[in-house]
Amino acid sequence: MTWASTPHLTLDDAIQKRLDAHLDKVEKVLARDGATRGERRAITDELETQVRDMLVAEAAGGDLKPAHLDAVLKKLDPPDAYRKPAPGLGHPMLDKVAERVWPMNPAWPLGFCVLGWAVLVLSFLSGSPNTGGAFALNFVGLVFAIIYRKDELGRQGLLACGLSAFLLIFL
Amino acid sequence: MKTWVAQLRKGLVEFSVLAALRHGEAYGYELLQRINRIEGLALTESTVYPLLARLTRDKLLTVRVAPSPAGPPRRYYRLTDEGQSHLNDMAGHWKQVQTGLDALLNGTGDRP
Repeated sequence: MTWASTPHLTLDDAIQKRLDAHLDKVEKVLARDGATRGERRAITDELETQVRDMLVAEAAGGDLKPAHLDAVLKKLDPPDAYRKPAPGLGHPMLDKVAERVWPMNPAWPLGFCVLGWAVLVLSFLSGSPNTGGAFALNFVGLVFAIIYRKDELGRQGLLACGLSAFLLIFL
Repeated sequence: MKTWVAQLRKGLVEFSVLAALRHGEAYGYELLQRINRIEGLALTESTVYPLLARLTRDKLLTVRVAPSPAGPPRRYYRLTDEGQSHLNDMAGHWKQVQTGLDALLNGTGDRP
């Protein structure tokens, strides 16, 4: 199919807004996985082209309705499908664990780091500083951060947990 | 789908995409349809579009952008000389594997 033979397709504001929301979700997943701006643009442009081609077929010459877009979006992969698979950890058993952990949120490492410091501050205020507990939580965060190291949030978690654990050694 | 079938397909995605472009350029969805018309090669957009971006970055594909009245400009992908050479290499390995497996299945392989 060439562009010259493609029927003209104008989407009304409501349908365009819903389509944009779907494309934004895909772009967000790609951005979190480290895709460059150009790659994100190329991928979402391809996806929009596909949706529009499918809408033409779905509407079959009739008026385009939001239900047509819903039907098309149902046939497509969900935005999370654009997430890269978990990086290999060098051992099949570790990869299996990572595969199970991966669907969780890559913000976990940062969460454990914050939790570790919260434990330290609260225990310090109560009179018996628990540096061991804080260190253990940061260590868990570090393990999650290694699993999520290819994700932007995961890398931030790696930095935070690494620095935290280093500081806690001296406390 | 059985795990080994999924793994086999996963390993052949890049080969399938390059092979589908062997006989001419195509835009993303057109390429996806070209592949999915063939039984046993079901691929989805979340696999193919990021791969097209990577293959372009690796200079195995080149892109021609053409305006479209139906939406954003269409990106037509074509094999570069490097892409063609990579595809030939993959096809050679594929034939070796295929021949080897056929020999095993037919019992015509070398016996100790």
